[in-house]
Amino acid sequence: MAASTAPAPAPPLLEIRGLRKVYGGTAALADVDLTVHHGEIHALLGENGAGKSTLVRILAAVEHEDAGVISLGGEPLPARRTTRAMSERGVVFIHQDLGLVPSMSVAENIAQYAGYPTGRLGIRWPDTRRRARAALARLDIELDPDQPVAELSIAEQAMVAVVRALARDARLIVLDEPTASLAAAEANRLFAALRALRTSGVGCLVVSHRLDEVLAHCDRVTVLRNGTLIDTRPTTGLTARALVTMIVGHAPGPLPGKRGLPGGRPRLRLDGFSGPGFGPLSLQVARGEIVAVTGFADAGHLALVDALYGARTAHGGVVELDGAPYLPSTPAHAIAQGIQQVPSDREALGLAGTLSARENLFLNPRRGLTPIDLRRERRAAARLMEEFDVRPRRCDAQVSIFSGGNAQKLLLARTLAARPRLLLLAEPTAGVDVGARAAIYAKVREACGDGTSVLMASSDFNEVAEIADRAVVLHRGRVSKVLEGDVTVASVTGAAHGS
Amino acid sequence: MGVETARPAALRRPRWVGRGASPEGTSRLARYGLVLILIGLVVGFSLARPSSFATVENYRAILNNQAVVVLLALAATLPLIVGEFDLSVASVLGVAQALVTGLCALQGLPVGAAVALAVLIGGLLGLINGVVIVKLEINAFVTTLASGTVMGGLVVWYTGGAPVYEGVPASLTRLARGHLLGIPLPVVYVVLITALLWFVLARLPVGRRLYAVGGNRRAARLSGIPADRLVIATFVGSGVLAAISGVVLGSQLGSVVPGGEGAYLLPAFAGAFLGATAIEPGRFNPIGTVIAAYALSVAVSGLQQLGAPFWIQPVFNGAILVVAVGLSGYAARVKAARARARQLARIDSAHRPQSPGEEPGPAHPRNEENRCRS
Repeated sequence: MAASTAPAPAPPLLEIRGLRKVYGGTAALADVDLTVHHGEIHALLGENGAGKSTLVRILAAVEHEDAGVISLGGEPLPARRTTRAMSERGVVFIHQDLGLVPSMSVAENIAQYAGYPTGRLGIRWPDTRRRARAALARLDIELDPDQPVAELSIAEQAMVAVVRALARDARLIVLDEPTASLAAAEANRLFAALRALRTSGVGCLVVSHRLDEVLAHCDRVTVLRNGTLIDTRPTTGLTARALVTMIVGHAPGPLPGKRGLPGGRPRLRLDGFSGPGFGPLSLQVARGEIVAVTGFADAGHLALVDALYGARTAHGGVVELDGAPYLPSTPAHAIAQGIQQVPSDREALGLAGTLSARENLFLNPRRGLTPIDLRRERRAAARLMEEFDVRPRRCDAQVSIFSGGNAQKLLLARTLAARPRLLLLAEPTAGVDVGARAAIYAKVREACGDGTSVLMASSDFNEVAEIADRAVVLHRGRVSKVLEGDVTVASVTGAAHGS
Repeated sequence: MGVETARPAALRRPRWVGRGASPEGTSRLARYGLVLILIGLVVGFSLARPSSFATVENYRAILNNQAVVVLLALAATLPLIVGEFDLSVASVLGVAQALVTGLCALQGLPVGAAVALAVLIGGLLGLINGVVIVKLEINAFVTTLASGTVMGGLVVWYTGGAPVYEGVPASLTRLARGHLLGIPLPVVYVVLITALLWFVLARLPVGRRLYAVGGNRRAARLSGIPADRLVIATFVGSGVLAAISGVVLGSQLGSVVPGGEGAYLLPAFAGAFLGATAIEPGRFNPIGTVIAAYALSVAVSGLQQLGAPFWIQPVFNGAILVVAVGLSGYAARVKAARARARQLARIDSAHRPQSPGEEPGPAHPRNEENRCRS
C-alpha cells in the first residue's frame, strides 16, 4: 500500500478497516480499507459495480456492513447506527440527485440543515435569509436566497447542496458523482469551493468517473475493483492512463473482430429515434451482431433500450425491424415482434422473488385454457438450467436464493428460450461475479451465431470492450462516437467523456 | 454450518421429477402443519367434549355455518394474490344478501333472477373497484374502504334500514338448507368453488400470470403480462365470490339485517392470511384459505363449548390475523438470514484462505457447488 501524504499525529478523520458487504451471492465489498485525513480531498474510483456506491451507502448508514470497523476521528462507530447518528457526527452527503426540495427557496433549503432562527413569533424570516446569504458568500456564490431551487441551473443547485452541507458543521463531506451533470467550468467552481474548506480541516470523499478532475483536484485516490481494494495512492505523479489501468485491472485483451453475419438488411435500424433522456440518434444492428450502447450513468443508453422495448414512451423517430416499420408501444407488443429484454435491475424488474426458478423461467406461459403440464415444464426448466449452468440446479427453489450471477443466467435463459430476433440487454452483468459473467457472454455470443441480434446497454466499459462488435458511445443522450474494431476500455472511456 | 449438515442428502435428490406445484425449500411440515393443527383441534375438542362436540350434527353445523366465511375468505384471497386488499368484500356480501332476499320478498322476482342479479351486481361492484384502483391509481385500501362504506349506505337505503324477513320464498332458503348426499349444500358450493379456484390458480396459465403480478408487478409487465387487466379481474372475481357468499348467507338465514355483514370482514382476512402459511407457504392459495378458515372456526366453537365467553371469537380472530402475518414474515426473515450466513461463510473462506488458527477454508466453496449438482 502506498504511503499516506502526511503521517498525522492525530487519528485520521475517517478510517475504514476490513469493510465487507454481501449482496445475494456476490461480495460487493470484500475487506476494503480506506483512510481520509483532515483537510484531504480523497477520490474513490472504480468501474460501475466496483463497490463505490455500496461503500457510500454504508457510510450513510443506509445499509450496514457485514464486517469491518469504521472510525471517525479515532472513535469507532457502532455497528448498527442510524443515518441521524452519522449526521450528528458531522458526516454529510451530497448525492447525485442532491436531495434538495425544488419547490422551496434557497434559504429554506439551507435552513433545513442549518436550522431556522426562531423568535416569539416563530421563524424569523429576515434572519433566515441573512444566514443563507452569509453561507453563500463564504463560498463566493452569488444567488438570491429567495429564489426557488427549481429555477436554478443544476450547477447552482449542486452549489446550494454544498453550502447546505457546510451549514451543519460538517467534518466529512461525501460527494457521490457530484460533477456528473456539470460542465467542466462549473465542476471547477465546485472543486474550488471544496478546496476552500481544507484549511478548516474538513475532509472530502469524492466518488467520480472523471479522471481529469480527480487528477487536478484530489489529493489521493483509492481504487476499487469487483469489491476489493486495488490501491490507495497520492495523485501527484499519477497519469490518467495509469489510473485507467488500476481501475480496469489489465491491459485490454485482443480486439474482437467484427462478427456480424453478412448480408441483407440490418436487423434493427434507428433513424432519429428519441425519447426521455436520449436522442435523436441513429444506429443499425446487423443480423447476429452485438452492438453496445454505452456511456456514463446519465448518457441515456438505458433509456434507449427501455424505449425500444416499449417499457417507456419514445418521442419520435423511425424504427425498422428487418426492414419493416416497428413502433414500440408495450413490452407485450415487443415480445410479439420477436424482441426480448433482460432488464437492468434483475430484482426490481426481472424476477418475481417469491416464485420458484421454474415459475420465473415460464413467468408468462402461452395463452389458453389448457392447463400447464407441470412435468413438461419441470423438464424444460431443468434443461434450461443445465444449458445455462444455473446453480444450484433446483428448479423448484425460490428464485431469491440464487446468487446474482445465477439469477442473471435464469433471466438470460428465459429471454433466449424465446429465440428472439432482437435481444435487448441492459447492464447484463451488473453485480455478477467473474465466472458467471464469462458464461453469460458465451451464451449471448452463441445466440448471435443462431441469428439473434443484440443491442446491449452497458455502463461497464470492460464489458463493452469484451463482447461488443461495435460500440455506440453516448454522451448526454447523443452519439459521441461509434467505435468499430477498436472497442477498448480506453477508447470507450475517452468517447464517454465526450472527447 | 450446523444448520446445513442435515441437508445434503435432500439436496442431491433431483427434486423436479414428479413433485407437486408447491415450491421446494418448504418442508412437508410447513405445508401441512395447519392441516395437522386442524386435525389436532378436532380430536382434542372431541375428546374434551365427547357428548357435544364429537357429534355428526356438530361437525355438520361447523362446516355449514362457516361456508359463508370460507367463501368470503376466498373472495379476499384473489386480490391478495396480486398484492391488493379488497376491504369491501363484506359489504358486497351485505349488498348481495339484501338484494337476494329483498328482490324475492319485496319485488317478487323469481329466485333464479334474484340470485343472478345479486351475483352480477357483485361482479359489477368489483369491476368498479378494480377500474378505480388501476385506472385512477387510487390505493386499493382507500378505494375499497370507501366503496364498502358507500355500499353499506345503499343497503340501508334499499331496505329502508329495517330487517327483511317476511315473504322470503322457500325456494330461496332451499338453496342453502338443502342437502346433497347428506352434505349441506353450502359445503358443496365451497368444495366446487375451491376446486375451480385451485384449478385456475395452480394449473392454468392465467394463474401463473396472477402470481407473477403479485410477485413483481413491474417484472410481470416487462414479460408482456397485462398486469392492469389481471388486477381488475381479481377484483371482479372477488366481487362475484363475495356476492355468492352473500346469496348463501341470505338463503341460510332467509332474512337480512342491514349492517350485519361487518362481522364477516375480519374472519375472512384472518382465513386468507393464515391460509397463506399452509399448502403453498408464502403464497395465498385457495386450499390453504379453506383449511385456515375452518381451523379458526373449529378453534372458536371448541373454545366456546369448553365454556369460553362469546366475545372470544373476535378476540381470537383478531389475534390470529396478526400472528399469521407475523409468522409468515418471520419465516421469510429466517430464510433470508440463513442464506446470508451461508454466503458470508463462503466469502470468508474465499478471501482468507490462509489465516492462522482457522480450519482450512478453500475447500468449502467447491463443496457447496458440488453438493448442489443433481
